Amino acid sequence: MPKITLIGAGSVVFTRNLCSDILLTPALQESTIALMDVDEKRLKQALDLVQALIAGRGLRARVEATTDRREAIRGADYVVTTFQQGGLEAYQLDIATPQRYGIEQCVGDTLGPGGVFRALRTIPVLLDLCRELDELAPEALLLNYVNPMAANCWAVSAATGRPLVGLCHSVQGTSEMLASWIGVPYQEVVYHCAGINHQAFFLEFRRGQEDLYPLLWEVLERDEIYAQEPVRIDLMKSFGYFVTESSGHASEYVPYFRKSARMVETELVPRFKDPRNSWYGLGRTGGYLNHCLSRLAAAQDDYQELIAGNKPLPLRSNEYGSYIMEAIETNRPIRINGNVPNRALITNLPVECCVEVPCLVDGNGIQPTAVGALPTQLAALNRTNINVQELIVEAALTGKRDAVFHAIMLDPLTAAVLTLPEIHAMVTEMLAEQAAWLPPKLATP
Amino acid sequence: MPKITFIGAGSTVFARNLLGDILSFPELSSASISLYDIDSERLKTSEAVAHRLAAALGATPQFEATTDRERALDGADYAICMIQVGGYRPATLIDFEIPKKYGLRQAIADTLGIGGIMRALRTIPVLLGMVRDMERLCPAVTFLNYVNPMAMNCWAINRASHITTVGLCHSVQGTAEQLARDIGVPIDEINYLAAGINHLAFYLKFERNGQDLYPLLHQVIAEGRVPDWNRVRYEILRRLGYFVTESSEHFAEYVPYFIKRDRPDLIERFNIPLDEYLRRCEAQIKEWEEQRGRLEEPLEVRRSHEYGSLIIHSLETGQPRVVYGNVSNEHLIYNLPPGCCVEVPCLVDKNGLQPTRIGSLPPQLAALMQTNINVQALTVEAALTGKLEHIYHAAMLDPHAAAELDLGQLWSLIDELIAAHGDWLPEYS
Repeated sequence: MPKITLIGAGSVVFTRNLCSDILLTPALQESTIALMDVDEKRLKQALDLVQALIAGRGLRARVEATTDRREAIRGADYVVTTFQQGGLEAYQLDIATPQRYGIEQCVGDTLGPGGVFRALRTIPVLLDLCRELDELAPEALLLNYVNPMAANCWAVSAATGRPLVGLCHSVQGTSEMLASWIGVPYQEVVYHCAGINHQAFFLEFRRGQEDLYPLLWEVLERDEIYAQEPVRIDLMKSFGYFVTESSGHASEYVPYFRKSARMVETELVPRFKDPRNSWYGLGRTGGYLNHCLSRLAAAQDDYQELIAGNKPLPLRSNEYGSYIMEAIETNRPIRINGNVPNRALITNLPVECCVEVPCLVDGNGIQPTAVGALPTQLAALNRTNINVQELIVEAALTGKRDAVFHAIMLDPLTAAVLTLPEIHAMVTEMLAEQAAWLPPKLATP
Repeated sequence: MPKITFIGAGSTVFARNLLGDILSFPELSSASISLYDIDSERLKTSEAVAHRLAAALGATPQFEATTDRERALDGADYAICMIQVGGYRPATLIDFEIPKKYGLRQAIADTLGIGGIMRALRTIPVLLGMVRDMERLCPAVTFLNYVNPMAMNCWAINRASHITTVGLCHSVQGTAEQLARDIGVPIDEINYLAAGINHLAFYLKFERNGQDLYPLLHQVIAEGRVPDWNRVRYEILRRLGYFVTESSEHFAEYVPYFIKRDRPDLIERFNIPLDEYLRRCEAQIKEWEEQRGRLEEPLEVRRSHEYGSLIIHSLETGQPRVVYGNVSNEHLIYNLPPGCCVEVPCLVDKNGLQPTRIGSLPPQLAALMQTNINVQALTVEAALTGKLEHIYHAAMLDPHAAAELDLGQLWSLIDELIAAHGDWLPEYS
């Protein structure tokens, strides 16, 4: 039975959901689950929750918890990363400092100054982890959930060559939403989706041979639909395809929607009318950060609720993690959308960049499928984002401080709003205030 | 002796320079020269200039002047293209004036941006018509294209035809000469390597006897000697670490950092000549008028720095030379998309035009180029498929236009431009 290690297991809600999935999977029910976090209190809470799951279901799985990462990964078959380097303290800086310069980020974890700095904090930790894996669990498959997905995975592949797959639930989540919009039972929907993480597109959305896009074009015009996803619908109207990550995210990867605080408040936010989008503040600057801060306050209550069993156990979720491990252990094939190096997969995106494509998973591991060329306008949009990712990887792997400036100079939103001297000043300030989490070569001029 | 066809020979000044270059080579001085233009009046002026030029050089070419393209191309060994589709009036003016209503200001508008997109959409169908003629009448021709937008035009031709095509510009050698003056080093002593895409190639090497001259370029900034007309490119040297090949007024509109609707201070600080191309067109029209009035005066011939005559000479004589050509990216620059149009050093000798492999560019340079290549890819897609949606997409991906306008504005801007250009554009659906 496999050993499954969770790095950053103190994310208690995610840990509980993933472990519940694992424990609902017959082939994994006798696994050893190793939880690791640097925060002892949250680690203990995660352990309590998983133990409660095992006991509640009368399973024979084992769970252990440690703050020693080497112990946690020794002999692991699967290593799942969910940590957030620098925590909310760093995240606040990612949002606040650019905002003073006029960069209005909604989520700020993927691209933009926030995404760049999140990557620069995270990549060294991932590379350290990979070095330890080479020593203690050389065959382990790394399942990375940490954002910014594309930059993190690209850096790990480029620096280590280790087998890894980057995972996100945006593809599944969006496909479910689209199916519900057009009233087609989800089980009957077939889709083909490809691009880069958070900016992949549904190239096909079908029921059998029937193209469902015409139905989508119809419902987009309905007020209650538009109010849920105004940005993604605008992008579909302009680019011809539906994108995988939410309107809050999508609005900050392009230069069109957040050119000033005034534009965000008077033109963008009012178009969000569905309370389900309050998790990113209806598109407001710092929307997702504020959501995280308020959830932090409620975390203790969450834990009490969960441990008391007041919240019903979820059915197996749509996260790919448990399905991948099951497919590898049982050699029963599944298809996922995974983030992997672009080795002749998408022909009009740069070689080796991190792409999100359909992958076959079975006993042979993660096997990406070749997509070919994306529609030109989608590849072009992806490339504007890949520019930033490539320069992040350059900075993180070489320690070249200039590359940090270059990355943000190429960020579509930042470049649309600021001049070069302004970008220079902003990045200089961010490098200084985040020095504690950054490699010294990047932090000091 | 080869047959060399000038397409758009009514561009009298440019044709005169190239023709002077060609006829100065003894090996080419009795070539067969075919001058072709759709405007018979301009063609007449060019023909008169050509005869005087030959006389001044003591050359004995066979001249032909015609408004029949098939005749001009029949049996050609070289075709040199210097056309402008739609002219200054109405086309270029429209490309400037309509975007201006939306607050979108341009300086040159012939490469990228709204102006570059529209220029390509007017030009590509004409170029494709030409290469179709060549496929029938002179399939072994070498097509030297001088027409902008260079990258889009050449990319479209390369996608649509097997005619051997190279795009030529003088920005690489011209900028090297300017830089040599800025740092006080004779140009003959300088060795450089430049690569990228047309108008956005960078000097990867700039040296004398193996000694890096970039420190001297940085000194120009440190000592406050940056020429007033070149502030943008020196600013880019500071921020990206490399010097770019096309002028400051061009570069300012390929990126989102310099021309911003609500920031007039930037225009002043970086000395950006908005609407510059309009003034240049007016000046050129004036020059042509003057030239026409001086057809009897003696003519002074000086070699230009254009590559055209050098390529023909090397192909004819086998004397090897290096020119910077715009060619299809077949494994030349790894971190740019396959098939896009790149500007790289090419060896020319009797074996033809042989692009050299560059490998990977510094990532910040490749990234900047990708933003421009995006617009090129979509414009070419629109021109070759006739799909209107890709014209919108091209505008949406343009770094300058997308920074200034929202999606709705970009679409209505394109709609308005297409309506204004009328018959100069094919039907899009």
